[in-house]
Amino acid sequence: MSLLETPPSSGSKATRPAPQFPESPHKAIRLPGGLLGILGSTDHKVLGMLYLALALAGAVFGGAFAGAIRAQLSSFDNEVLSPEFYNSMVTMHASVMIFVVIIPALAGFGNYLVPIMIGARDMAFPRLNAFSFWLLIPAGGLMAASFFVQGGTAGAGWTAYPPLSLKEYSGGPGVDMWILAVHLAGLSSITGGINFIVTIMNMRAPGMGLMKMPLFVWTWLVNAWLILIGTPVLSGAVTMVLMDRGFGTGFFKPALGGDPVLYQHLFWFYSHPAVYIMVLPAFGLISHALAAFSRKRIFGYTGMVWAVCAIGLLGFMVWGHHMFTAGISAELRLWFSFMTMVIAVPTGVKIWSWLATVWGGTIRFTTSMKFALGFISLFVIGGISGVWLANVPIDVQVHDSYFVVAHFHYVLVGGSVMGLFAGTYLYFPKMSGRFLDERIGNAVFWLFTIGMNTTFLPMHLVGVQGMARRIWQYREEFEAINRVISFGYLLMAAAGALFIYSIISSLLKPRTCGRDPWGINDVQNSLIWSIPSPPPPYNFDTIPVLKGSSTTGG
Amino acid sequence: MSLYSAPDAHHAPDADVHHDIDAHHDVEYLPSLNPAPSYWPVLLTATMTLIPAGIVLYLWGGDSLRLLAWGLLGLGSLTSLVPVMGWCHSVIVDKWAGHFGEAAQGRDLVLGTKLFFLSEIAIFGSIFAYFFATLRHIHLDAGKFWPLDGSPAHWHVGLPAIGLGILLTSSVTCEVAHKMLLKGNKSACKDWMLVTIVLGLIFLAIQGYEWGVFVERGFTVESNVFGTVFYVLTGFHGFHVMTGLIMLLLVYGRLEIGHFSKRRHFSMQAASWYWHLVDVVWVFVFVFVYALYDAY
Repeated sequence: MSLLETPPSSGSKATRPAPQFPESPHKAIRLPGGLLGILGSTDHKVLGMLYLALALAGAVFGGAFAGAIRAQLSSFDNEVLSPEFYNSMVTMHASVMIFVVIIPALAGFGNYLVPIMIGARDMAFPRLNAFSFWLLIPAGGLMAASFFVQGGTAGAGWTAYPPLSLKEYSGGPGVDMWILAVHLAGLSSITGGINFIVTIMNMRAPGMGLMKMPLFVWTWLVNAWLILIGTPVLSGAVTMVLMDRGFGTGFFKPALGGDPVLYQHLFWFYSHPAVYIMVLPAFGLISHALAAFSRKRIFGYTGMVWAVCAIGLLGFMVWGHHMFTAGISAELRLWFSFMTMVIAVPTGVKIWSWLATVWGGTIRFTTSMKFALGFISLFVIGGISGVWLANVPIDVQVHDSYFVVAHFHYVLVGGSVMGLFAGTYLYFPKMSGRFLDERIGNAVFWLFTIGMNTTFLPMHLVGVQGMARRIWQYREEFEAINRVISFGYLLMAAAGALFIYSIISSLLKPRTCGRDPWGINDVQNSLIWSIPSPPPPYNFDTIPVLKGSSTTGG
Repeated sequence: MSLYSAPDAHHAPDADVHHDIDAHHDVEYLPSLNPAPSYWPVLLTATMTLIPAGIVLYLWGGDSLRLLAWGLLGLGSLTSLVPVMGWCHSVIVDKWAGHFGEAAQGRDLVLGTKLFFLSEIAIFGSIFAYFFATLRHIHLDAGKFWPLDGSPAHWHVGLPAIGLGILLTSSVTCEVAHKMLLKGNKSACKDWMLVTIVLGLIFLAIQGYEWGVFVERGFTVESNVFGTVFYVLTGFHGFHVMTGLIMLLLVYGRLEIGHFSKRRHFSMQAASWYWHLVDVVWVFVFVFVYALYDAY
């Protein structure tokens, strides 16, 4: 049986015989079911779902760490946590959310969707793909284990700036274990990035030119390049810290002629592009959600592609805006300030194209659509405060204050996490064959959005008034606002719990979805909506052949 | 109207399609295939985990646990070889059994290998970036470049120059080995490969000797930032030379078994690319760390 819709035959010219997938020698090989089968699986769909499950589990921990932070900050002279443990919570909240939640979640969507969207049966290197995923388990395990060692887990912030991260200020194995965990997560990212580039460059179905790929595939292609060039530099930087700590080197020790500011350069050379690593695939998911629930094709496809490429390129030229107060020269400040503002241009292209995608569409306010629209609103707020922060005088004023915390949470929560929610509600029926409950989804959306704004909007306020980030106590006059912020956290936590309940309860129900659960493929003509839900092993029986010159709709 | 059609389908003229791409004739398409499920990747992550565990124990276990730390490091490295070998074995078996479109797998491996090299260049780049930035800030602070207190007063470039010559020669012999294989002269190929490996070993010995001399004179990583970056850069490069040598040894072993043919020798190709990359890195190290030392 052909897995693809066959258009009605009307007696036009017959196509010549198409190339066939080689007969699989392994179709007969069946792994044992259950855990043993999962351990040995190289199927991109299984691995994609493992990534997503890991991210969800990580979010529970990362969220709990955030809860500890908010509990401590709910009154000004609180001593619920010790200062050291508070520092650890701040560090691990960021590290877990970045390395175990957002990056793996986007890799999960990428693993699941990219091969299907380009008409391939799997990634280019399926075994390497499994390796990339399983590396994250020891990475997370090392971070978890560091809670139980003497001196506790790393407390030098996820940025691990020396000298704070050196032995004088961070005794105990916590920081070393954190660094080794970052190495493992970095290796996972690099091998994953190589896999994505080779898959996308080499395995597209016949007729699918680069400018015909679905936008999500484009965002992952650019993302993979960012990972490939950036992540090794992070590995290099944290290795230098590891050696300064344990092997007596002097990379960042002024007494030996080293310079701690160089660490910041190397670190942000990766970690600024990492911001785009965490948001570009979310851009892709949002594009698809908006097009799907407006019953339209994506507006301005070509412009969107070039905007993604431009963001990827410019992302490597702006790292210094994290260091305006670190003593870099006026010329460098000018350059980084200017380039940072330039990034707003391609981002603006994307925002307007999204709005134009919705414009004049037949809009359905599904949960996915609500999250997508919420993404646009909240990401714009984070983007605009980003342009403020690109101005050196403003940045010097609010540096290391809660204003900065508010800014990057609007980008990461309002951007990446909203995008992940939108993607989950859009593709869950494809992955599992079941819908997520829309009524619960509605509650998740409103609870999360209201909670998110209650948490992060007031942070702008206390930030400009001078409340410093990463400090466990604060001046009494900020207490009222911090109470509100901590209450907002509870709303977000409730939304998270409801979301997990929704996923579990849906998974217990029978499968009801057809190939095109949202009824949009008549407009979009996407490969992803033309195969069964969930897709069968190997996705496609025959090689799908792309006809015509128009781009893929969604 | 679907943009995609089953290959045997007749399809109707499509109003919004400007022209039909008869894709399977205009576009060269080489389908890839899923390999069998495999336990090697998950096993490799498990054995690899012993290495970071050993490092933590080495740094924090104290003298009493030092032996255990070395044990974990050794065990992690050795046991990791098993899944690595198993993994390579299944790649080779898949290739030999003709399970893949041969050209497709070659094409994927070629691109994947080049991308891996790019990440290697990025990580060496991070150390070089550190090196140049440190040069600049020391110049700004002290009004001079190297040598800082504790570094050698000036550098005898004789020994490293010999090392450079040996490494460059080994790149040439590696290429000659490749040419011999292309000509079908397998025994000459093996000989030239052996020469390459021996030259690599000589290079490592020279580096080891040089390190020994410096350490004896009291110039170590702890002397100053130049010592730090010198030992880390040459050490990291030496580690890559060792990795390259292991690759070349495996290639030699497979030549011995007779795995490679004129048309089919991707592993040998990849190992020689890697060897050239390591070589080029050494040219940069030699020029900027050794040769220009007195000029800084």
